[in-house]
Amino acid sequence: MSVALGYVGKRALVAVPLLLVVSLACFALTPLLPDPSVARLGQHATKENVAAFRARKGLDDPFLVRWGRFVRDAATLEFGEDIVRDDGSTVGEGIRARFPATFELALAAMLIAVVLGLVAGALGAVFPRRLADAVAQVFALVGASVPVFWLGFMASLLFAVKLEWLPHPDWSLRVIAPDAGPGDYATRFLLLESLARFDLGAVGRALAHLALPALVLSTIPLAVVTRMTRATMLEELGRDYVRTARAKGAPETRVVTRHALRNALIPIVTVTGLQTGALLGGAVLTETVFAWPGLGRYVAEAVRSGNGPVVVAGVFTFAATFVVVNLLVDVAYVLADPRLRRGAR
Amino acid sequence: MTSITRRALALVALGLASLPAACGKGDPAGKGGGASGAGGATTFVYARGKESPTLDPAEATDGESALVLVNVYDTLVRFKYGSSAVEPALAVAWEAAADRLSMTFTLRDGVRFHDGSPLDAAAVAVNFERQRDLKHKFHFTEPGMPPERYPYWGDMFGFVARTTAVDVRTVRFEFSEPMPPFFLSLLAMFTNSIVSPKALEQGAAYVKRHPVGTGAFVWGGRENEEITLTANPSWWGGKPAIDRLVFVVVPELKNAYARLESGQVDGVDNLASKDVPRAKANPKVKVHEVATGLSVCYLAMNNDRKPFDDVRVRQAVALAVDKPRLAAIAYEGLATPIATLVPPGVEGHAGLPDRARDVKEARRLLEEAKAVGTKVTLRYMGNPRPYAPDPGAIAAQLRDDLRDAGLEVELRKDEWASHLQALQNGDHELGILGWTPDVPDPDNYLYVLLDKEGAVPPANNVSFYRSEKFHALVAAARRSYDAGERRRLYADAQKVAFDDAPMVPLVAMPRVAATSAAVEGFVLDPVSSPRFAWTSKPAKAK
Amino acid sequence: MKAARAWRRLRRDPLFWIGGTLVLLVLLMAALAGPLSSHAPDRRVTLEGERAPVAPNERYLLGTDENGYDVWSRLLHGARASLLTGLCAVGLALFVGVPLGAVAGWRGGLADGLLMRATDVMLAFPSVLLAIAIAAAAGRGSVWTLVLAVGVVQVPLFMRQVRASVMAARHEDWVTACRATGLSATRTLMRHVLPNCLAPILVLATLGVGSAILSAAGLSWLGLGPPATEPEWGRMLEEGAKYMREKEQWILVPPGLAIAATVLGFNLLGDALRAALDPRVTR
Repeated sequence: MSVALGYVGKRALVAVPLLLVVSLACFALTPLLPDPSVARLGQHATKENVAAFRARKGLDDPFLVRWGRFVRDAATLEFGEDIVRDDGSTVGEGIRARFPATFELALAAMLIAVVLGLVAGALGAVFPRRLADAVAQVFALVGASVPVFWLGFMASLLFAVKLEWLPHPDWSLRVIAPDAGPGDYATRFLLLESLARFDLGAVGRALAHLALPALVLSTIPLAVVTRMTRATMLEELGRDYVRTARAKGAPETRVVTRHALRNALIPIVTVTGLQTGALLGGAVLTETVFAWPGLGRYVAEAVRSGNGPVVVAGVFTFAATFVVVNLLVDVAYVLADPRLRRGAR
Repeated sequence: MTSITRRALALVALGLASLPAACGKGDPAGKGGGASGAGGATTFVYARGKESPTLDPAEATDGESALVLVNVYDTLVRFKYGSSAVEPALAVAWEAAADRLSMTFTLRDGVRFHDGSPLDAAAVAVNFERQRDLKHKFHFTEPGMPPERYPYWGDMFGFVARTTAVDVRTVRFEFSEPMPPFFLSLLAMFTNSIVSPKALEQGAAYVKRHPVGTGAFVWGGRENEEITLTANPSWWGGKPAIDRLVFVVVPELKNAYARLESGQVDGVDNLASKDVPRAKANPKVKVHEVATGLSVCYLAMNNDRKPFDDVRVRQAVALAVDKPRLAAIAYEGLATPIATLVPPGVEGHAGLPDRARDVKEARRLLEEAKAVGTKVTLRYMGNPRPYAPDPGAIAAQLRDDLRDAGLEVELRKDEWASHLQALQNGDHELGILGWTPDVPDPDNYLYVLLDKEGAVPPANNVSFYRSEKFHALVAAARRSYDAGERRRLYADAQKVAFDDAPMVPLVAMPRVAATSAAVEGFVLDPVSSPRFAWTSKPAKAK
Repeated sequence: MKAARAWRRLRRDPLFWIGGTLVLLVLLMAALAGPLSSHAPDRRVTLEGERAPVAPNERYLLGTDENGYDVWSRLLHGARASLLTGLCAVGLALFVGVPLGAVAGWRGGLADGLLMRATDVMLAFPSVLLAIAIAAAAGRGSVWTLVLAVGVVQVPLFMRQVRASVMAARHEDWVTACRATGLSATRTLMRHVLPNCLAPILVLATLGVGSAILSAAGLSWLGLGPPATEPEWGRMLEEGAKYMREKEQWILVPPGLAIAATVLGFNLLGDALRAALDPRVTR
């Protein structure tokens, strides 16, 4: 156990400088973005006004100083004062309020993609070059080729407008848990917290509102997961231990699920972790289509309204999430498979 | 507005005075939860396109902020529900001095702010003084930083010299020049909401985020972009029928309307023109329109720039634009084409016959001005506005209309803020813009949008039209208290502008909103943002 | 020899034929957009008295949108915009990514470490967000904004691929032989190593065109692309998707299908190429 803990610690330590570099890269976006003092002061500002404002807010300090401040503010998850809104709120308030919605959407989409991808990929590997294989592969590829925003629009047209099977997604406490008392659902993770509270009504409503956007978003990683599953499963099914198992007379389903699939899981999980990036990016579009109150839409709107600090902090939150998810993936499979603890990487 | 000295009618006070009886029951204000748990409590969900940037009435200028402010705050006088006439609110009576250099208001008795403090003359005076006096401790702008002046006060209240509390119930305004005839309408604007001095004490950030007024609804809180208000059980006008009023943000009109159809929201603040026919055909939905459209949309030509410094080119543009077609297609028949900026229905509108579209004549004028084939850029905004629900479609139509006459028009789209900034700085040749008046008076269209005094960047007169003749007429009308004379002066001014064609007034747009059919007592105000004090909705059966 | 073997494998792959056909169709649409379209793609073509949007009829093959623009003609010209964006974006990514990747792989050491950490960081950004930021920074929306935003995002992918291939080749015998005959390092790299890495770059580029078209459509749909009147598929969707309607599908369906078919075509083609060029991949 201590070996495992040591490994986790080592990986976490590696993540820290990576996060620092990521924060540097995010912060380097600043000069590309519109000047927040313009958004704050409006069209009446003179050059002197802007200069005075920038000086006071420290926007003209040396780059390293500003970056240092950003790192410090990011560490507290406050990200400093929101100088565009200028109502005493911090950038972090807005980010933290919206992150849970994006997280739960992305998580649900990833789960759907992994389950569907595993099934389709395994089918393809067990029956290679047969109809099921072709159908599964083409289906996944088509999913990856259809623009999510279009798919989202068509899906809500069909399921919410025409058939009225599902509601238009409305991810708010008022809708998901109308009976919540003060202080309930303070985490803002509406689905996870309703599960934890065993509030079945809220879980049902949360799932209904989550279904459309999560399904649409899941098409992004689906193709990759399917392909990866199929390829590794094919490889595993060709290995000696599988032949041995078969020779011993183990039933085929058992061979596939207990042996081959289990061994194929590691590369699949790795790929899944790496797909988080594409998934979070796709969330920007999906959130916009479904008016989802998530971080992606928040950042996209901040880009449009010229709120640079929110953009930088939001992009950093996304990138940091990606780094942390992949760290967790690394750690998870090392814990699951002790063989990987030694040796390179 | 002929008579300026008015006494409040006992009649109006009658309906509003019978209040304290109603406030015994109902759940205590301020609790966010328990809508369905509380039994009969009703929640009304109203969808809008954006969140409110600020809740400090002194600095707010936009409709999204106003929507919250008009429900939380009261003003001294208010627009009668569903009309642009003025009636008593926090003030029950008023009288102007004969020289029009001062005006005295008598306040309503027994009104309390949501924080429990009493409304008195001192509280009212503070709210005006803090806007006027740059050094006032509640003047929350930064010295030397724009906007140093609160925008509305700076633009419209320069004539107010001082506001004082004469006694506990009496407030007096003193003016540096005779007050304009529409002063009462100005007082009814949301920007003159009366904020609790106790809240002001808490500082700028607090006022921006926590409105504390005397109004029909009490601030309940904000969760992301969702704002909750709760009924004020002790409102002097009587407890509203809605217990909880929720403003949600649905960025796209089509999404908002789809949620109304599926019953997920009770009302939508704006309706895409193309959804209107469908909404009218749906028995579950009620469409609300204001009969007279006050918002106008126009095509601004930069008179400082070639080729639009030539009146013939401007006239050619005016001749080439097909307004009826624009109104029919880009506005789905909801808007009315207008010949002059003052729309029909506003006192002072000049019934000028409009130019009929004449491409041949337009081309001839362009040839005369040697402007055929000139390349010009038409700038438009990326976000829908009340007067331009679909700016892209309007721009596309105008471009094609002008191409027929021989101008090579290129389109350029910008986000709203940068679009406005570009036009106000004169960084355009052609631009689409519009105006929703603060008060329905010709002055608020003509002086603001076409007078030479407004042609200095950042300009409201984005056509940069500088006609002395026009200026003389509008300035004279500003000083006149004779209704007939004013009408005449404004008619002449409109004729001058029509012939000079500094811009092409396109259409007047009525406000359109929709609620579910079960909602009662929802009326769109022509000037004010929607107020929900008199709206009710049956409690859900399940 | 290798090419001939790859071709033999390709020929037998049905997915190659499907993908190839789709891509060919789009190429044809783009090439013949002029003669095939019935109207001007970027202006109102409806007649006096016709109420836009007009349903498909003999005058408008796919109807018109609500601006009165002909959907069929816009669809054809949109193929040009999409292909242009996709190809130029990949061109940009190649232009930047290949030299950097080659240097990293060939030189190794510090340069390699730095460049690879840089790609790590770039890949940690959600590409759409990064592209949005770039597009917003580039200002005025045009096809070139899209090319820039989408192209930059793809750079790290090419860097990594090229680096891996160059690294693999660096230690092979024939490279050592080249160096031994006195050929300079640069020359060896340019003349011998890089051409040998062509196959994986080709695969990546093919797949890249598809994903570039997809991302560009997304940006354009968010309003960061060219103005509304330009015939561009993402833009057509934004214009068409303004209202939740069940009727008038002719405005929404064609551009969506066109994007999907084009991207699918490039994806299939890329997959087939990969299978044919890399014998380890079994299909």
